Amino acid sequence: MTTPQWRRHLTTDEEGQQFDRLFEPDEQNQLRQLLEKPGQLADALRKGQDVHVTLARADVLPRLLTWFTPRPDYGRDGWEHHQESSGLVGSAWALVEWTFAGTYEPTRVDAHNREVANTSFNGLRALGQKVTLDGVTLVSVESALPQFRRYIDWAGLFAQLGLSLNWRIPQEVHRDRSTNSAPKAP
Amino acid sequence: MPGGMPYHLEKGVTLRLIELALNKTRSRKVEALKALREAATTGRPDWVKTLLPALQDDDPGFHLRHTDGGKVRSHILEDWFGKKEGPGPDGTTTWHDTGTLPGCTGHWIAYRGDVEKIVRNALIWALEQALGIEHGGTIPTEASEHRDIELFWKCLCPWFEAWLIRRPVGPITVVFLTPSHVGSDVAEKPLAVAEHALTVDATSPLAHAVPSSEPDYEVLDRPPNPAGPTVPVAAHLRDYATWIVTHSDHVSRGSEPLVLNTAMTADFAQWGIPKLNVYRGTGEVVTVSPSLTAGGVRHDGAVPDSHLSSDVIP
Repeated sequence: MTTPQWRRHLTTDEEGQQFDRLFEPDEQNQLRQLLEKPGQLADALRKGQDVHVTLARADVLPRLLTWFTPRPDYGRDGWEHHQESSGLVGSAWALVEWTFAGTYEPTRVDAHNREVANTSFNGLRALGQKVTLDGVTLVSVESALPQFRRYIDWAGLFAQLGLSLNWRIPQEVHRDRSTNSAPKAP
Repeated sequence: MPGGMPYHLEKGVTLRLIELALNKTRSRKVEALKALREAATTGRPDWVKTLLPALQDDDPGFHLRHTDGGKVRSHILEDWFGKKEGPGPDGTTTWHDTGTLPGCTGHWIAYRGDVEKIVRNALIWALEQALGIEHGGTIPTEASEHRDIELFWKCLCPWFEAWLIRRPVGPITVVFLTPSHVGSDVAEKPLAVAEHALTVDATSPLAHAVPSSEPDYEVLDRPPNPAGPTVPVAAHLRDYATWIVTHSDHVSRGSEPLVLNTAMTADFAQWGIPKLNVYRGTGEVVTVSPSLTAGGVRHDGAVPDSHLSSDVIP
């Protein structure tokens, strides 16, 4: 079955399954309408309807759930938006501030129903880390297309997972002392 | 050790000088071991003063008379060990912890630890292994066979480690694995640029990423450059070598921009984990012998006077 255009960036089967689990058919139908008909989306955003929250949740949560198990006592499926800091901004954008709480479980069940080591987050071996991820998603319609921007606290997530930076910058260009020119910006 | 470090693995002038000092005679090893063991009792890093002045002898080819030995010692004490000598509360001279960045030891980034003790213990073990005595054992007074000690510095690691490597024959190897340090860069290309290598001013603040402006820099698997300096000894006949084998360049940020920056305007669900940098080795695979100044070692193991200036000491 061909993936509908509006869902084409849900790139894995697991993301698609999470999406289908999270959103009832009527919600999916609403999302499809908004994403396929940006004019409707623009109208809804202008009228202050809460579609931006649904869109922001649909945009990030299915993928987050392919990595992390949601914290059962937080929000819906570990995700919650902050009503007081969300809403219309400027003339055409809606902002959704959100938080996700979950656990990077050491094991997961694979497609063959076997329990295997969980390395779903970019190959990183899971150690049961508790994570809280904060983000802001902006939704709008530009050039007759639905547009999203996601300001996500990646550095905070990486730190909670136990990652560190290596703090050595590879020089892209040999510095040219004969012309006294500085290295090219990356 | 001081200054830049364009590669991930280095020997360079300072480590080579320490090797030469330690390996010169058995008595030099014994002297160093005694100083290090005494420091283990006092907990003071004064052994650096004992070890490094020993480098300032009159042996041609590997002494520090053209550089500032005090500057090198201060660099090791303050930047590597995070120790600075000064007046204590009672007015006597004592050692204080120091760091370039808040909460960090020495000039290391995002790391705090007892570097002095790690280095000291590693050198104690290495010297005992080289002298063939048990750990903490009595040092025999009579002359006996002793092995050489070789030193390397590997940067970058999340924390400071020293590895001691022993084989049935040959030297005792110590590898220092360190975090990144303040201002440390690494070159994406292992190659110096030939025309620059012949003309650059090594003291310029816009230093070459690989400051191999010396005659001992060499790309081994290419024909010798007739316009440039060459090493006069065939590769297989050299006494010493520290070579890097890798792609001639590495291109970073090869991932799509939308993954690098999720705040860019994009379609529904069109985002991913920022990879910060994704490297792709490009170009031919080359074998490079870095110059001594860039962290390599000369074919004869020497540290000529011309390599010793207070500005260029890797």
